[in-house]
Amino acid sequence: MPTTTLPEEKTSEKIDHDAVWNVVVHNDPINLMSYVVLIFMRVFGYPRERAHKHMLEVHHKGRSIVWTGPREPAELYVQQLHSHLLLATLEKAPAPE
Amino acid sequence: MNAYTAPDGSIHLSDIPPVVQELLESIPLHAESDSAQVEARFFPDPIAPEANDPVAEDWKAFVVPDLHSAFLSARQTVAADLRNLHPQEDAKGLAMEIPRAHLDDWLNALNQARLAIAAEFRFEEEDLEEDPSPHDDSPRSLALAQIHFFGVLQEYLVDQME
Repeated sequence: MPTTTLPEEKTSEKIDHDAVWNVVVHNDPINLMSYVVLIFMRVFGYPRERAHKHMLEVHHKGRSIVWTGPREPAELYVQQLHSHLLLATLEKAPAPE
Repeated sequence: MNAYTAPDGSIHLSDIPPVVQELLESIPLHAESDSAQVEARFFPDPIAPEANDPVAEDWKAFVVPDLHSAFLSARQTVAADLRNLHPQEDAKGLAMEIPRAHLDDWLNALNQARLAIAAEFRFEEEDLEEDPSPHDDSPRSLALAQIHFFGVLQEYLVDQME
């Protein structure tokens, strides 16, 4: 009887869709502050004050978590930020204690 | 160079001298570079490599080509607008119009140009705080002047869009 070898499951490549993900924007000295604020307002619909607060956090601390939530929208937000040439990444949010 | 915003939201640039004409016409060209530094800056990883997440491969296959197209489209819009540079009747320089519908593409193309130059010359934050010297005509100093000029124009466009 022929045997079938199941492909080895790559556990490291599994996406944890139940996890909560952060969208992180990283500092880039070239992007203008006013431009970054405009993009945060447009992409996330944030009011100016909140967009400005995130921009300052990026500028002073090197990064800011600009959005937290499910994986799929997080990926879409990173894609939109990249389309505006902002440095953004996905990060799995730490599990709540 | 003078700039004003018409009631319909279009931007009118006038009294453009030859040196500024040259700078404007260079906007769509900087990002045509195929240097590895520019490529890395324009298409960063969506997740840290150590996360070993499959999205990184999918990103290269599906998202990066879309970004390539979007960036090219923005540059093509700007290049087309720049072909409308024309002499003013008073012969004080050249003039042109940026339609309101093209402002996003201009912002994007200006950002591409600034980032591409900065990546090519490996400018750091402290480099950008320097004022370009009018007595220094080295390629690095000229590149810094270009980044500053494009930044001023970008800032003006952002102001008009708010």
